Amino acid sequence: MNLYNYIFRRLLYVIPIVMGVSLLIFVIFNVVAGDPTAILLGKHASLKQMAELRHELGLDRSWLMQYLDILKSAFTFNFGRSWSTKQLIAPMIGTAAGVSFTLVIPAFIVTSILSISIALIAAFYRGRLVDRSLVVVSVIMMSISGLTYILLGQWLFAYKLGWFEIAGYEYGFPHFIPYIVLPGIILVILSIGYEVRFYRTVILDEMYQDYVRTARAKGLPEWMVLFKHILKNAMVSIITNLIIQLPALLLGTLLVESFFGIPGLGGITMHAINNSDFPIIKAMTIISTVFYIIFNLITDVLYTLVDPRIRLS
Amino acid sequence: MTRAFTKSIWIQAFSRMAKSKLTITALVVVIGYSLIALLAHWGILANDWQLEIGNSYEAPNIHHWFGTDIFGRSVFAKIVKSTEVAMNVGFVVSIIAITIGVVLGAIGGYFGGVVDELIVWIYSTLAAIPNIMLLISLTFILGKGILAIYIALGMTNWVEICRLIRGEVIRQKDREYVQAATAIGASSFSKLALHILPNVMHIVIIQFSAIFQSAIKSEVILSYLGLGIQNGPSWGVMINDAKVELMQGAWWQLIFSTMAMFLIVLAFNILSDALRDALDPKLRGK
Amino acid sequence: MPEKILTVEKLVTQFNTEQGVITPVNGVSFTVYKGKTLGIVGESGSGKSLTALSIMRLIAQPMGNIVSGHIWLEGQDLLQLSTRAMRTIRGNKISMIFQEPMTSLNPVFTVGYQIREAITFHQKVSRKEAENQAIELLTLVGIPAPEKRIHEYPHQLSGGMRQRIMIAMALSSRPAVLIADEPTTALDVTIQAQILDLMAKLQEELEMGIILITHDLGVVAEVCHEVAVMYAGKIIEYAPVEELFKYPKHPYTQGLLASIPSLEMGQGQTHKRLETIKGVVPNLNQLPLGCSFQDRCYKVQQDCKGEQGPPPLEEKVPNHLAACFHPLKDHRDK
Repeated sequence: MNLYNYIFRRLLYVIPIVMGVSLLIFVIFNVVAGDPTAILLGKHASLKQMAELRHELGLDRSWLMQYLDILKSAFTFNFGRSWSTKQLIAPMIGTAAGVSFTLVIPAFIVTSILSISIALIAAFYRGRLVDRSLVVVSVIMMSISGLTYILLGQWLFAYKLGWFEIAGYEYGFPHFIPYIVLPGIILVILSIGYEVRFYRTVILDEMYQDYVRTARAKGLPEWMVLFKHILKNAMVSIITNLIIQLPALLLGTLLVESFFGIPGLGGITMHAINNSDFPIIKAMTIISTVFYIIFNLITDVLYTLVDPRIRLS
Repeated sequence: MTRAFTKSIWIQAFSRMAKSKLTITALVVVIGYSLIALLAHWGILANDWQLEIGNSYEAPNIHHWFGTDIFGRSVFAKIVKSTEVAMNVGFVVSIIAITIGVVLGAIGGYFGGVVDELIVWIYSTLAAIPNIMLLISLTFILGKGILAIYIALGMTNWVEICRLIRGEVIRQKDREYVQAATAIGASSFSKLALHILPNVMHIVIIQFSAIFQSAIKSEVILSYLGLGIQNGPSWGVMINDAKVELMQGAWWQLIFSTMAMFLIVLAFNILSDALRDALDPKLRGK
Repeated sequence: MPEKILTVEKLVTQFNTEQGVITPVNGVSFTVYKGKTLGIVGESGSGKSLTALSIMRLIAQPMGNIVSGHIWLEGQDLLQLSTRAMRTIRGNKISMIFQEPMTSLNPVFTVGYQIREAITFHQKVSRKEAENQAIELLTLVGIPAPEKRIHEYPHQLSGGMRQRIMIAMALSSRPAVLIADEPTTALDVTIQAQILDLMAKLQEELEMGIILITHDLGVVAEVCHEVAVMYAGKIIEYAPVEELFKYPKHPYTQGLLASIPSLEMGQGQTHKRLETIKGVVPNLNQLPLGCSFQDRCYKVQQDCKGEQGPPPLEEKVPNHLAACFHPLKDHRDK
């Protein structure tokens, strides 16, 4: 099937999902949540004030209109104003996204390179001490709560030893660097356990395939078998994994950012939770979903590019 | 042979698991935690966790093995009580998620057609929202308290097992033993319940362990964020307290709650791996 | 007198399993001659594939281990070579092709690339030169339009073509010995015949020795010059092909031959049932004392079961070895 056909069909499939998601968000935030005016204005608000606010927030319109509002906001990126800061949400999110990138992208690159390399090493020495210790270490690291890493890390390296900044952020390159190193390291530690185990499994699965036996029978050294033959076949799963992580990354930094006072997407979400800032949480949910869907699509397309079997069938 | 999974395969799998000391240890830990949780639930253990029994911020000593918190409460008692919360959440959420996932997955996989499309649409929709945002949104809206946690965690955990069960049911429904059952006039329901489902049980068992563990970890994070259980102790709340405590040099709440959580999560990790190695037909062939 | 090119001497390979140590290759010895084909026959589990993998030293450690024995090739004992030195032999002096052409080729590389890789690894030639050789090889194995084919991916080719590609790859450095592990089992009957013909033709041209592993006696009769029958890790009969088919000495071999359906059956003969050998191949960690075949043998006697140990492989008739205390007799025995 033609690549364009495939993309088109894939896009078509997105439509019912988008409708479903917007419906779900609508149900959660507009129906179940109920009328927030009382919370916002306090107990002593007059009926008139409440009605005004309701109108301003668009809550007095029909369910259908409110639902369409959600769809519209997903496409126009207009999310209204924050309840706590009264600022326009869209630009807030824009700036915050930029900040998150400075933290998340380097951490992502480091984690990916490290975990794939470690997984390759583990696969190369499969069954032996190196491999088994790596697995054990990964499992142990995965079992410690992220919260602990953050608290201990911050306390030990920033507070006690003073090697890094405790919290805060400075805009602009290279000013932000001292602020992102420690949180970045913690982000790497948080995910590396999972990643190594995942990549190791993927690579090992390939290792048991018949073509590997043929490659060895040709006389090729083990490292060549691993890096050329196995890796290329594992690429599909590896790439999928890499891409899928991207949207989750931005939010996984929720805790790290809030701790280290970094005003990224995670930071403002945390802030919103603490201040019951409803529209921000709603906006973040919509945006992260949109990106998740887009990235899923990109992954599927990349699949077809990397694996010739899919491309040419 | 009416099943792909005969009793002897189960026995073989479990006896193979039993050979590993590590797996047995993990199982013992899980059972131990469950016992502690039950005892706490019935009030036999740590019933008095709220009482002020010592001075503020006492370091671990003979009277208070894990020290005290800011209110002078026994950290040990709080940890025990939190175990109850954790095991409770893990268990209930697993049951909810597995029930929904298995029922929907089996129905969708078996009947196909519009019903299946609908079910796939439902879980694809849920899956399209990143888990953590969904969790936050749900708990935010549903308010604090344990019911909100059950619902939120239940909703975010059933999709994976639904997918797996659906896939497996689709694979199994054209197998000979199902055709044989049809030939003798078995109804759809009995085919599904009596013949196919036992052959997907291995997925359920593996997922039970995985979801239990994931629920515990999520609950800790939610409590930490202030979105979860607020009226009782929880490892998450204790870790949250530690934010301030560390600055004052009080490390014990953090360390002990982390260790308590670490042990049970590690135990479940080991169990899940062992179960997967023992029960996954693909791996068994190697 | 044909030249010897590969001699395997008392090869022993062991595996560590959950149930203990098993010895799937238990003292195997044979010789491969230039330009001749040795067939190794047996049911699955007899150890024939593992013997081949042992020769190539492709046994997966640490689970498996070649414990003792010698493999003589051009005056060298392959089992004494370093890993590095062995790699210059593998794919170069000895090549191997496998049963499943579907999965034995790497799906994400073109077939041309995979052949070139075999060439450039063992010979220092340019990419262009390697490509030319690849095209020549494809022509040699009978693939039409080779210049186009080298840019194609394995999944675009049929099973027969894929096996030809495997053969081309294996022959790229004109090996002295080709090991073919059930090369035609996964193919259609007509393609089978083509591949076997191709192998015979190539053998003549390149003066290669071939070890053909199979469970199909029909194939053996077609192309092999000598045959070794394996059972539970040991060779239990070893003879030139015609000799084996006419005068089998071991009851197991007799059983195998009798289970080949033949056209004479049902034509005037009283209903002759298809013979099968009763019982199943024994579990390698539960081998009985004495002869491994005792539980399935219709001629079993007391001495087969124990104290003397298993019957040794010895010459019963000139050039015809069998491992049996009570071998079948023919008109040549006194």
